[in-house]
Amino acid sequence: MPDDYIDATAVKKEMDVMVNMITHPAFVDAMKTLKSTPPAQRREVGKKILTVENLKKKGVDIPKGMRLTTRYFEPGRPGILEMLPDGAIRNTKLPNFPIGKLDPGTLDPGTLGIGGCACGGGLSFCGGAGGST
Amino acid sequence: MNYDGLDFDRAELSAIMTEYYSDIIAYITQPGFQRTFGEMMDLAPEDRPAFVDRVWLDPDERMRRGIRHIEGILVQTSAFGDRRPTLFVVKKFLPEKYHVAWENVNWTFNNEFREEDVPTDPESAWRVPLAVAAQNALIAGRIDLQSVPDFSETISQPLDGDDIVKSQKVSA
Repeated sequence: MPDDYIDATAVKKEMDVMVNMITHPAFVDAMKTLKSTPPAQRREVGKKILTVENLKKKGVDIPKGMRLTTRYFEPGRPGILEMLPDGAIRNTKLPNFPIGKLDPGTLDPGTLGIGGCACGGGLSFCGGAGGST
Repeated sequence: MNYDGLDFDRAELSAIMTEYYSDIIAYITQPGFQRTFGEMMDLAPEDRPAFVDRVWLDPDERMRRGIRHIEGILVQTSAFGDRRPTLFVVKKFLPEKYHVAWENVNWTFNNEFREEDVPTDPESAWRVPLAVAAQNALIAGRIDLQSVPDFSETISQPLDGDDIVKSQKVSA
């Protein structure tokens, strides 16, 4: 089994590009705005201010392939899907988080943080930084 | 000069991010990690979420494979609004003072995908991410994540409908 799938030099180069981009004052300002927005409105705000086009206009050097998206980080193991008698499906890991009835306006930020994520690099690997937990 | 309204400047933020990324690089380039990663990538894409659950998310299994823990490094699963077929992420939280802008740096591992198959338009990219359990079930069922209707609509469809996504979830 080869043990050099991930090349440290290439990863470092990718991460340096990432740091240069996401520390740009316009990028930091956009993230600050997003983070100060109530969670229920963050997606609406994010898709206006945290776009490649918008940030480029503000002078941020955005490398090709960069993606700006919502992101959810799972705390611990993802759990499994469970079918309920009424036909709803829920995640056993988050019993009070019925995925069939998800309403972004009621998200518990402690469970699901939508704060935006920047990821760039290859398609199988990518370096990123997140504004959510 | 500090960022507007903040008590740190670009040089300081860059330095801390670079330092934390260095820990991630040290973690993901150690031999045990590389061997384990190679083993996962030799599997079919649909079999990788189970490998992630069995191996990457188990600290004892990581240790058994010689993956040395580095302080502050987290191995997690995640899901993106653009629905790229992601597998797991190695992440480190930045110190709290920077959370007003950025909370973590990370390196993410995905199943291979074609750039044009994952949308970049803001409307698609800023969707509510799928629950990871749902995402994994779809990947295991070889279902294109982009084919799933928007989150709330997907799960509320009637069970007796012709919704292949739902039947895949049930069997997964």
